[in-house]
Order: sequence, then structure tokens, then C-alpha cells
Amino acid sequence: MATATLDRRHAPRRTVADTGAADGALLARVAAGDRGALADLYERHRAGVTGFVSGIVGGDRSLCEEVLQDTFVAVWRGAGAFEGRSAVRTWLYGIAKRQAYNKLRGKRFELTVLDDEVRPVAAGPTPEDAALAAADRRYVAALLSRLGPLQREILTLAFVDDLSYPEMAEILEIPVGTVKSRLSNAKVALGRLARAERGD
Amino acid sequence: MAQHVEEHLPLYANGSLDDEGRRVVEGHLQMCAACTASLAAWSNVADAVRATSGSAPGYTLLDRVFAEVDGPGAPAPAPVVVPITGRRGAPRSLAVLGVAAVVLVVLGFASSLTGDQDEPDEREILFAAAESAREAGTARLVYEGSLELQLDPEVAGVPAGAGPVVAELRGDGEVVLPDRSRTRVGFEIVEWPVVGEERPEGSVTETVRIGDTVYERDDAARFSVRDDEPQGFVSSALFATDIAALLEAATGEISEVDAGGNDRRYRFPVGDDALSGEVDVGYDDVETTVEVLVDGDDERVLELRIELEGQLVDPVVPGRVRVDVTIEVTDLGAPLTVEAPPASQVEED
Repeated sequence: MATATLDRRHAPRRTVADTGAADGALLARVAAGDRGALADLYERHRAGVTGFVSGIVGGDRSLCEEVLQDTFVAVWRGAGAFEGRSAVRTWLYGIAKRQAYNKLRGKRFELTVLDDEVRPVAAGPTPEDAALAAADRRYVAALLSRLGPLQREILTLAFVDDLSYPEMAEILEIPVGTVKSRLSNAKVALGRLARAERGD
Repeated sequence: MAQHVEEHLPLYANGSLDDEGRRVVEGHLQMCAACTASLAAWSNVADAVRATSGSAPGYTLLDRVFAEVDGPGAPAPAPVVVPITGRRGAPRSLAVLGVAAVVLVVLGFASSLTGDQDEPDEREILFAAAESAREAGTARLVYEGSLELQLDPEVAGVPAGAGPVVAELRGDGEVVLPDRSRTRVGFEIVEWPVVGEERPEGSVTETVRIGDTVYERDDAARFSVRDDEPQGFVSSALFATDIAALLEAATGEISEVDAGGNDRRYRFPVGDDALSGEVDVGYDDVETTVEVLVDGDDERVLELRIELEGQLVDPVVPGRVRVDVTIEVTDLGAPLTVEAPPASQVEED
């Protein structure tokens, strides 16, 4: 049986130590009032944080930009208090997450009703996987908006920021086991939506 | 084996799996139709997520950041003045400086809180500090002059009378003192205004617990002490994930069975040392509900309603068992402590 082929191959990753050292130096300069350092930090992380926040707020670009602005204002004001107990990126994403949920608190969430069965690993392909694998990518992209913010958030961390399970767990402040189950459930939810849409 | 490989497929798809893991996955995929289909599904999901992640805003956003930091019309970082009211005297101001760090400076108090008028109430300082901590994740308190800070006894080690004293108050409620490692401050951020929510003038906007006393502050920064003893509090930022974390802390392993929209259903192990059954968490605009169901049947043993404002109301314990569950959230949505008895200690009526 052929191995599934990914469109996106595996590029070498920057090491956490490399990234962390550069971020730490930048943040120290931010703490000293260096605006250029904040610009550099913004440049290094704007794509990742944008994807992360966009996932939480459901693609609302205006809201996303508000959250990003609040986030980097908070970074500017709080840089001096950063103690290095976590990676700068984790700290930054934590701020972004708080700001995003602050915004979302005043909004009504969508409700997606799913059944409550734990699905064991099937002997063959599950109907959800089959539906997702066969679906047009743009169609899957449209289904993403029907997920809850927590599911969009985890999918963004996994596939925009390409994080590992421990990194996702640290940012979201949840156990690694919950990261795995939430990811899995997000895929199942998308698969069910795909099946429902095509009338399975 | 299949379960083990299945859980690594998202990492395989995002390229964060190490070489050995990739070899294991690729070997397994040669003989497993289920995982091959799953990877194909993950690949499609990954591409869709990347396609919708949106382009990052440009540097105009950074300009807006600096404009906000500078304040309207100000060429340099300007202090944001947070009005506070003295314990007995005239209003004072607490400056929040947005330079390098969030620093709260209490200036010019030459004597202790106990003697003179015009002294700030320690609760007000904590409120202001917590407010800044909420924004930045952390804040630093700087007390200059001879300020006797009469905090809750839980705040052990805060020097009285001798200044300047610098303490760091973290968003998670910890205070870091210059001469000590850290201690936990005896206050709890219970409730914060919902962003964008309109409230009647004078309504309570923030609630903080210091020790056993609950303080409320209204829109006009007036303080009052809540008379009725609350049954329990949670943050208004409580989300279903927090419920899961709370229950995980109380019961051990927990798995998310259902994760759609605002409703969550979790399952946790059945055993002598843990509560057993399922918890069904849902929330809407007005409340969060939590139901713990006895495993194997539909009998509820605990039902909690959590109002949007954050107060835990009407805990219902129907049926034949009595369960005491204490939920304490001391930061925005971050669970700190949960106490629940093991099933073996639950008393039957």
C-alpha cells in the first residue's frame, strides 16, 4: 500500500534553542525601550501569531488585527517583567490567547452538535477520513469556520505553526493527552461535517 | 500499534516528527489502510488550515501599537493614570507607566496606612496591579516611601514600613519579593468585565477575594464588601477546557469525547480513587452547566451552573450521594486548585 504523499515536505526546523536565544535578546532590548527590537520581534512572529489568533477568532480579520495590536502593546508593556521561565514564543502566544478570548467573551459562539462516542481505531478507513480525504481543499477550508474556537486554535498551532505536542500543550496550558484528543476530535468533527454535507 | 501511530499522524503531517518516528509511521502506513486514509485526511485538513490562516498584517499594525503605547498626541510613553480613592481622604492617583515594564508606583506616602488620611487602600493597589497583570501577564509593584502595606496575612514576608519595597505581582497571583523566592498573595481575581459589555452605571465591575472576604468595585471605583458568603466563584473566563483541567486535576486522566462548538463531553476513569462517569459541559450566553453522571446509568450526582458573570450558583446534588467539589480559579480562566473526594469517601445519604 502506498504511503500518502504530503504536498508540503518536511523542511528543517529551527531549533528551539536558536529561536529562544534570539527572541530572548530581542525581548531584553524591548524591555529597555528599543522600538526596533519590538519591530524585529513582530517580524519574527507576526505570521505565526496571526495564524494562531485567526484560528481562535474564526478568520475575522478585523478582530484578529485588534487582538494582534493588543498583544504587542502588552508585549511592549510587559517585556521588562519577562523572567524567562518559558520560551518567549510561549509567553507571546499566551498573551495572544488571553487577548483573543477577551475579545470572544462578548461574542456568541457557534454550536456544533456531535454525538458522544469515542471512536476506536477502525480496521479500515473511517467514513469521516474517507470523506475528508476525498473532499476539495477549499471545501474543507470552508468547513473550518463551523468548528469551535478551541478546535480551530489547535489546528492552527499544528499546521500553521507546525508545533510539537509539548509545545502546543505549553501554549494552551493543557495536558499533552488533551492536545492529542482535541486534534483527533477536530478531524472527526470536520469529517462528520463533510459527510453530512454530501448526504452520507 | 495502530492507535500509537494514529496519534503521531498530525506531527507527521506538520513535519515535526523526528526521523525515527517518521520511519515508524511510514513503515506502518505500508500495511494499514486506516492510518493511510487518516493521513490523507490530515493532509487535506493541514492544507485547508494553512490556506485559511490569513496573511499577517503589515507594519501599519506596529504603528498602531506604538500609537497606543504613546497615547493620544504624546510624543513619548506617557503614564496612564488610574484613579484610586484613599481610605478616608481625598482621591489619589496611581500611575501606570508603560515604559519597559508595567510598573505601579505609589509615590510620596511618608507614613503608615494606619495613621494618616489620604493613604491608598491596599486593596486598591492590588486591584490596580491585578488590572495591569491582566493586560501584560505580569506586573511590578513599586512602593516608594514608608508605606506600611497591610496585606492579608497570607502575603507573608511583605516588609512593613521600610521602603522602598519592590514586589512583583504576577498574573497568576504570585508575588515575587526582592529578598525571597516567591509567595502567594492572598487575593483572587474573581471577575472582570466582559469586553464590550454594557453595564448600568455604578454596577459592580470587578470582584476580588482577599482571604475569606470578597470585595467588589463598581464603575466609579467604589469598594464594598460583599455581605453574603458566596458558594464559590469561577472566573468569567472559564471555558470548557478549564472544566476539563479542573476535573482532570480532581480525577486523574480525562479524555475529551466530544468537542463541538460550546458543548463538551468528557470521560474519566472509573475507579475507587476517582469520581466516575462523564461530565457534560455546555455554555451559552448566560451560563455554563456541568453535570457529572454516574458511569453506567443516567443518575446525576452533581450539577453546577456557572453564570456568565462568574458566580457558581445552585449546586445541585440529587440522588443518593453527597459530593463536595471545590473549584477555585484565581486567574483568568487558569485553574489552580480543585478538591474532590475520591469515590471511596463519598457518603451515601
